Amino acid sequence: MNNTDSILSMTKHGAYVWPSYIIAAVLLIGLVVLSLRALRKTRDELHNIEAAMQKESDET
Amino acid sequence: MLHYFANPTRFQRLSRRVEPWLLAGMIVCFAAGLYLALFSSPVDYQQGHTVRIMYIHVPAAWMALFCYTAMAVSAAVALIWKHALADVAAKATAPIGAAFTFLALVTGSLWGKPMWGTWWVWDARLTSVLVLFFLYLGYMALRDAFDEPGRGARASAILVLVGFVNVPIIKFSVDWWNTLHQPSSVLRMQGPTIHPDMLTPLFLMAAAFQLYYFWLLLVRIRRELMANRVRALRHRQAAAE
Amino acid sequence: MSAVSVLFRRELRLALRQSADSVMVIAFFVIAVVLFPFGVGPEPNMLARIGPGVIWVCALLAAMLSMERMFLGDYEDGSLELLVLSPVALELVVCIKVAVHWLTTGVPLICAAPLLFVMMNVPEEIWPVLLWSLLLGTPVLSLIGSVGAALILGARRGGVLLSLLVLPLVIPVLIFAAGAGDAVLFGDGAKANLMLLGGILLGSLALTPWATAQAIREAVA
Repeated sequence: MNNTDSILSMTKHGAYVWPSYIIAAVLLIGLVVLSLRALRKTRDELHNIEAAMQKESDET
Repeated sequence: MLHYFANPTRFQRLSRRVEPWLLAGMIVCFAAGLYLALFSSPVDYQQGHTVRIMYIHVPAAWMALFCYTAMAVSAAVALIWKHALADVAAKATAPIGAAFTFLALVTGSLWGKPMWGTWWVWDARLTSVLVLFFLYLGYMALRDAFDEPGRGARASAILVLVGFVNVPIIKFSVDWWNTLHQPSSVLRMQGPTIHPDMLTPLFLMAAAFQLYYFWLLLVRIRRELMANRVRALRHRQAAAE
Repeated sequence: MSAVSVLFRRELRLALRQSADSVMVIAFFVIAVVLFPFGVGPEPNMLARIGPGVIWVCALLAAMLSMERMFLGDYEDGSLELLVLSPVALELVVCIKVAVHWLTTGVPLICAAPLLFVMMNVPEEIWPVLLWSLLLGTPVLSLIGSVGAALILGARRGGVLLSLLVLPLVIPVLIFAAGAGDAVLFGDGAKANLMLLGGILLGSLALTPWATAQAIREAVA
């Protein structure tokens, strides 16, 4: 690597390189966050419904 | 063997065993790939530092095509063999593929501006990827457009297959169109002849994206299977009242 | 064969009964094209340059307007289920419906085209080639549109969704058809364009009725 270029500026191409990586990170991490959150929410829903049905069958 | 994994409980058990390995592999590949891509790899003779965008752009484009193919295969399996897991896999893949496609387009623009002086050009590759993005959006829109989820699943499966037939046609027609419209000054994305020092981060990032896809796919499939079970139980609850 | 002709006559009668639909499609076509001189200025050379493309895009959008209704009426009153169960192959039923759609939408568009060529100052030497491109391309729009029309049966917001689904798929048709004019003026002639359009037409004729029939079966199942 050309050591005289700073990591940040990359001979003024940094303005294009860094946003690329940042957008990639936002998209990919964002998708993971959304997916995990949906997973957690659905898992809770499932537990609630199973518990409710268990209770019903216990009562009858 | 395919039907062995169609059982949701069995799949969930297997998935939970596999996921940590995929996650670990992905993190390792990202760490190594990003380090090499951003810090340790050489600057291109012609393109300078902007070549670093290639390490995101090219793997993203590969994944965009890979995911659509995966969706098409899953849709075909779902329609022909009525395989429940295949159908869920297609649904889970779509947003991931759309994200990669969008990423390929955006990083392509960010690469194009410093390199060729323009944010966008109707190059055959760019145009085909843009159309691919619309195909993804259409799939997701159709899937969600029905009250009954099964109907959405089957309709969007047919759509993916029709689109898959059309993808090579689009690619080939846009190729022709591009040459028709730009006879002399042909704007080609003639990337650098790839130096081995650049191949390593490229393949590492590609592997990282691939592992990311498989890991996230399993997570999303698990979520879909649970959601299906919730829906089934709700029906049973409503029926019992 | 008589079942086919009965069906054909039924579809034609239904479509002609709602002739307002065809008129609306043509009206939209003309109005949309007419907007362009207002939008980009009336300079004749520029209009001539963009004319074929503009006319083709507006033809595409106009065809989209009437696409939704291909199966919707029969779907809503239950006749579609009867058609699925009828002894006539569903693929044939689809072909008949597509043919009637083309006759009542595509053909009027082709007839209106010369008027628009005049308005957009399209050079007379390329009129034949553009008319050929419309003749070959509009059936493809009806065919591929039929797949979309079947897929959206029972969907919310079907009309808008239909455009989102079908337009990416017909881009190759647009490329070759609108490019035919330029090929004559600046290139080696439009033979390749028209041959490719013909090929796409034949391919669509072979594949889309089957896909549409599948989609209809899913819709009424």
